[in-house]
Order: sequence, then C-alpha cells, then structure tokens
Amino acid sequence: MKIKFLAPLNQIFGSAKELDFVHPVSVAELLRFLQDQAPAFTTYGGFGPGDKHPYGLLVWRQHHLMTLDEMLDPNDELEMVPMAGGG
Amino acid sequence: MNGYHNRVAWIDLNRRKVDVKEPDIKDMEDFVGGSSLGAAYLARLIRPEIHPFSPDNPLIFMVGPYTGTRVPASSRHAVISLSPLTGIYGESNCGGSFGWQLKKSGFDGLVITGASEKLVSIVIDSGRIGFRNSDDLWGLDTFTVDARLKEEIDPKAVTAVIGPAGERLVKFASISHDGRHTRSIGRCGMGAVMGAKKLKAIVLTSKGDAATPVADVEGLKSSAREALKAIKERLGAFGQIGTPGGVINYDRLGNLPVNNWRTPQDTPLAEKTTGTTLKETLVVRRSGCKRCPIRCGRLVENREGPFALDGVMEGPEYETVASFGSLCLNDNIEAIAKANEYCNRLGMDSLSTGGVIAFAMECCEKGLIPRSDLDGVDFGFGKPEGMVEMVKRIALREGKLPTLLGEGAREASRVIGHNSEEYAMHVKGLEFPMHDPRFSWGQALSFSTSNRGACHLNSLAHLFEMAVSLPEYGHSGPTPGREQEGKAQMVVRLQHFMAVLDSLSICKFTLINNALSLSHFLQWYGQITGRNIGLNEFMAIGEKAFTLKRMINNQRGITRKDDILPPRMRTLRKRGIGFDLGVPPLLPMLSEYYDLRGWAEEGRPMDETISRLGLDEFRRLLD
Repeated sequence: MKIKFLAPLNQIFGSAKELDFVHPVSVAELLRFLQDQAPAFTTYGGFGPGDKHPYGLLVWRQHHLMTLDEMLDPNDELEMVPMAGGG
Repeated sequence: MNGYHNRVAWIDLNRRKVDVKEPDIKDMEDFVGGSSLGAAYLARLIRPEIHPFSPDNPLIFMVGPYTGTRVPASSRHAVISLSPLTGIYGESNCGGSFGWQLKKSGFDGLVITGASEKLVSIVIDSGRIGFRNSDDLWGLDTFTVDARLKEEIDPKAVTAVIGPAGERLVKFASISHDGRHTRSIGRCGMGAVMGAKKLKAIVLTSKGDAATPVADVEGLKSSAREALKAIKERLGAFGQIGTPGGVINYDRLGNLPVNNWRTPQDTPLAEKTTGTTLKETLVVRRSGCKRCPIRCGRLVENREGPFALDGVMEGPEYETVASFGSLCLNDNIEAIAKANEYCNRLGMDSLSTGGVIAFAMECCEKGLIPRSDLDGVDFGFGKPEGMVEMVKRIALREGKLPTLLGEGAREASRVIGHNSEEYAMHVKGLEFPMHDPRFSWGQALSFSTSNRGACHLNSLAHLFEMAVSLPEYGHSGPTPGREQEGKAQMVVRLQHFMAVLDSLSICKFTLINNALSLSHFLQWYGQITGRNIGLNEFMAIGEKAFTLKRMINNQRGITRKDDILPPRMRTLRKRGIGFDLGVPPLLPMLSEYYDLRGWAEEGRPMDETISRLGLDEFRRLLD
C-alpha cells in the first residue's frame, strides 16, 4: 500500500510511505498503526467513537473520499490531505 | 438574571444622549441575547418605510450570557440592523475581543439610534459612555484609527472602526475590530449603517472589569475544563492549519467555487492557495480570539513584491482565500493576502467584495462592461493585479465601475442588464459564501431561506452532511449531501440550533469534529443563568428567533419568490474528477420546509405558528 502525505504531514512521515499488511485493514486501523509509529500524527489522524473521518485529515483513494470504516486493498494508493473544515 | 449585567445602553446620536435600561426579563428568557435579542429590539423599532440609511434604523451591538465567562470560544458579539445591501434584516457576528470587553464594561448590548451631524466616536470607559468628535479621523483606514485611538485613550483599548468604505456607504462595508489583528463584522453592510450615522468608532477602554454573574461557578468551571480537553484533542489540527486548510479538500469534493461558480474544480490552483501553502509562505504565527483555545487565525507578512503587505497583520481565512482565489481564478496567494489587507484596512466584507469582483470579471468576459469603464485597470479572471486594484477602488469609490460594484452584485446586475443577473451570485442581495449548494443540498435550502440572504452559517449543513452529528436533536450522523429525503427537516433543526448559538454567542467552529455538542451548550446555559430548561425549550429559543427575523423580512416584502437560488445554481450541473453534482431540487424541498415551519405557501408564518411561538406581540409586522 502506498501512502502520499501532503504538508504538513510530510514532516512526520516524509512525502510518501509504503506499507505491507498481512491482513486486510480498515482506514481506522491504518490510522491507528500510523499513530503508534508517530504520536505527533494523532493530532491529525486521531478519531473518536462514532466518527466518520479523523480529526484533521481526509483519506483519499483515487478521487474517492474514504470513511474510517472502509476496508483497504494491499495495492491501494492513498493520499492523506490535512483538514476538512472551512470557515 | 445571572449571565447578564442587566444593562443595555440606548445611545441617541441625534442628541448625544445615553440611557441605560434594564432589559425585560421575559425578553432575556425568550430571546437570550446575541442576534436573537437584537432582532427583538429591531422589530420593535422599525417601520416598513425606514430605509437602512435612515437615522431611524437602529444599529445594535449584542453579546450573550456566555460572553465574559469561562465558556471556551465565547468572546463573540453580534451586530443587528436593517441591511443596506439587502434592504431586509441584517446581522453579522465575529470573535476577537470586542464582545468580551463590552461585557467587561458592564453592558449586555448597545442600541444606537439617530445620526450625528458630524463624525463622532463613542467612548465607553468602564460603565461610563461619552463621545469624541472625530472629524480628524475622516478618511483614515481602520488600522490607523485603531492605533490613534489607542495612543490617545488607552493602549489596551478595544475598538470597532469603519474605514473609508463605510464612510462612503459602500453597501457591504464592514466594521473592523482589533486593528491589524482584524476581526470583522463583515456581512450585510453594517459598516455602511455606521457610516450613515457618522459614527467612526466605538472605543472600549481596558478599565471595564465587571465579572459576569454566574449561578453555578464550580459547575461551570468543571464542565468548561472538560470541554477544553475535547477541543484540544479534536481541533488541534484545525488550529494548526486554520480555516484555509479547507481549500484543497473542498476542491476535491466539489464544494469550492471556481471561475464564478462555472468551472467544477481547479486542483493546481487549490494546491497553490490552500492553508498549508499559506502556512509555508506568508504565515508568521498563529493568532486567536480572546480566551479561545482553538486559535485558528494566523498572522501573515510579505515584505517584497507587488503585493507587499504593510507590516504583520491578520491573514485571510478560508472564505477570503476562496473568494479572491479560486472564485476569481487567481492562484497568487500573495495577491489574496493583499486583497484581504485592503478589505480589513478600508473596511469591506471580503466575501461580498470577491463576489462582486467575480461577477464583474464575467461581465467583462461577456463584453458587457466597456473597456473605458475599467480606467486602465487590467481586469479579468486570472489577473491578480487588476483584482487587487479593483478592491481598493471599490472601497474608495474611485471610478464609475467600482462605484457601481460598491452597490452589490444584485444592483450592479440590474444596472448593467443584458441578462447579467445570470452571473450575479446572491440570495436576497447578499453575495454567496464560498460553499457550493450543488455539493450540499442542505446548504441550498439554507442559502435560500436564511434571513440575511445567502449564508452558510445559519445551518452549517455541509458540515453536518459530511461529519458532524447532533444525536440529542435527531441528527445521529452524517447524511448524504445530495439526498432530498429528510433534508428540509435537517435544515429546520439546524437553523434553530444555530440561532440558539447566535443567541448565546459562541463560535460554531467548536462543532467541528464533534468537539462540542448540544448537551454542552444546554448545560452551560443552566449553569450560567440558573435557568434549567429542557432541550425542547432550549431549541424553541432558536425557532422563535428565526421566525421573528422572517417576520421582519415579510414586513419588508420578502415572500416565497425571494427564497430562490440564482439561475446558475438551478441549471448548471457540476461535473469534476471524482464528483457529479446535479442541481438541488429546491422547490420541493422548500414546500416541505414551509410545512415543517408552519408557514403558508407564500412564505409567511401562519397565525397559529405565531401564537404557538409566543410572537403575538410582533404580529403587526405582517399587517
């Protein structure tokens, strides 16, 4: 699975990262894994019970906006883009 | 009642007379504060024939029971008046420190009537209110006036100031607070109402130190502490990037307006203007409103080039970035920051300014504006220099076209003619905010029914469709943005909820990521006022206020015919990469919406609705 991180997430993980999971994982599980790797990521990738999206980023697969409960494919190419809200 | 100082200052500019009155307790129970209580005062003072620039049109500043307490993100105030831009009910609210200091000065509100013969400022020094002749301030920009009044009166004073745009009655002139750390009463042209009253500034000295009475001090302390934790956890990223971080995601979702709402998306432009780009280029540090833990604002600096800024100042928010960015096909972030500076310094709403400029750009493109009217400005889509120059000229009313644009998009399209209303994106005369009703059908209904015209904040429906839930009030989770079923019910409920928040005076950004919810707001209302009411009664405050504002609009001729989106939103499908957004089914949603509200088909509350809401006193508005 390839993940592209847009600024400022690239300061945590670099601009891209490749991950291999033995079992299929959901978006939520992927984000938890990344939080374990870098606690600073929690500000963006953290989420609470019942949330549909994490606190500070959106996860995109191609041009599809993914929710936390969606399952990922090992060949997926994802983009993590900070912030959902506007003013 | 706790939560208030029980003092509203009635200031008559004709006679320079001040009368401090105790508000009616029933008013406070029924309308609470903020724009709701302000609307009740307005409704009692106006008559159908009163023009927004008439001395008889009151200009009302209100805070709420939360203001001045421990409730996070509650340093806000509202300004209420008849809008010169729309001709109907107008309101605007903002953060900063003005609301906080007004409450600290011992007031729950200011009702300003009449008009001064000469330019004047109001000085509020703790509980005392005086006047300062201000002819010496004529023509000065808001940053200069703020600095001068601070130097003269109190270095820690807080100000509300109009710039040259307000003096010249530009219909969307704003009221600027906090100098170059600007917070704006932007929407609806309240700065022009101030200009018509020859009121240049309101100064609150730092001496005001009145504590807001709170019924349950320990309870509030504890619940506010808990809420702070949630805000820090859930809004940390929002605070770090700020509102412009929405640009890039909204481009992908189809919510971002591009090319005066014609082009579906422009991802390269969005990437060049989004919040992270702003952060990497112009931002020098974060900023925030008084006592706000979110700190979503940011200060910017740009010392060189054609768009150099005059020092460090508040940077553009999402709405401004989109308004002077994608809407005008401008990918130059420095030009956006400069246009933002002009709006703040000269005193204009950046949303309406961007809206009329994009409208004029399209008129130029279609050949409806002769080159000679441009007075040498290289003006059009994708031309940042011309865009920035036009912002300045509109504020100063320099030239035929800028003067016309200063009347707003609706009036400009009426004068230009040739079907140019097709390019004027407004509802009831108020230019669009930067959210696409084709992306959010909830916002489509909100824009068309909001009492001040096109407004995204009267429901925030797009956020509730995307991620925010409100389980206490029947919205258990996100709902599809383009689904008609249940949309009218959702919008009605959200409009009531938002009207409640506008009464209490709290920032709606606290709802993002479900950081705070309805139960917090209800609990705090009880802890502060000592008035423990149930959820239904709490929400009824919002319904009552929303309906009263509608009745004010009915008096001014608003009916169903006005609850309509502009032609482009009714005809143009939006197809981009990753989305295909049809036009919203507004008319059927509107009928359902009227039924739910108890309004007749022509868009007026029915007699039984007025009685049910206890608004009989205001029935004369519909005569």
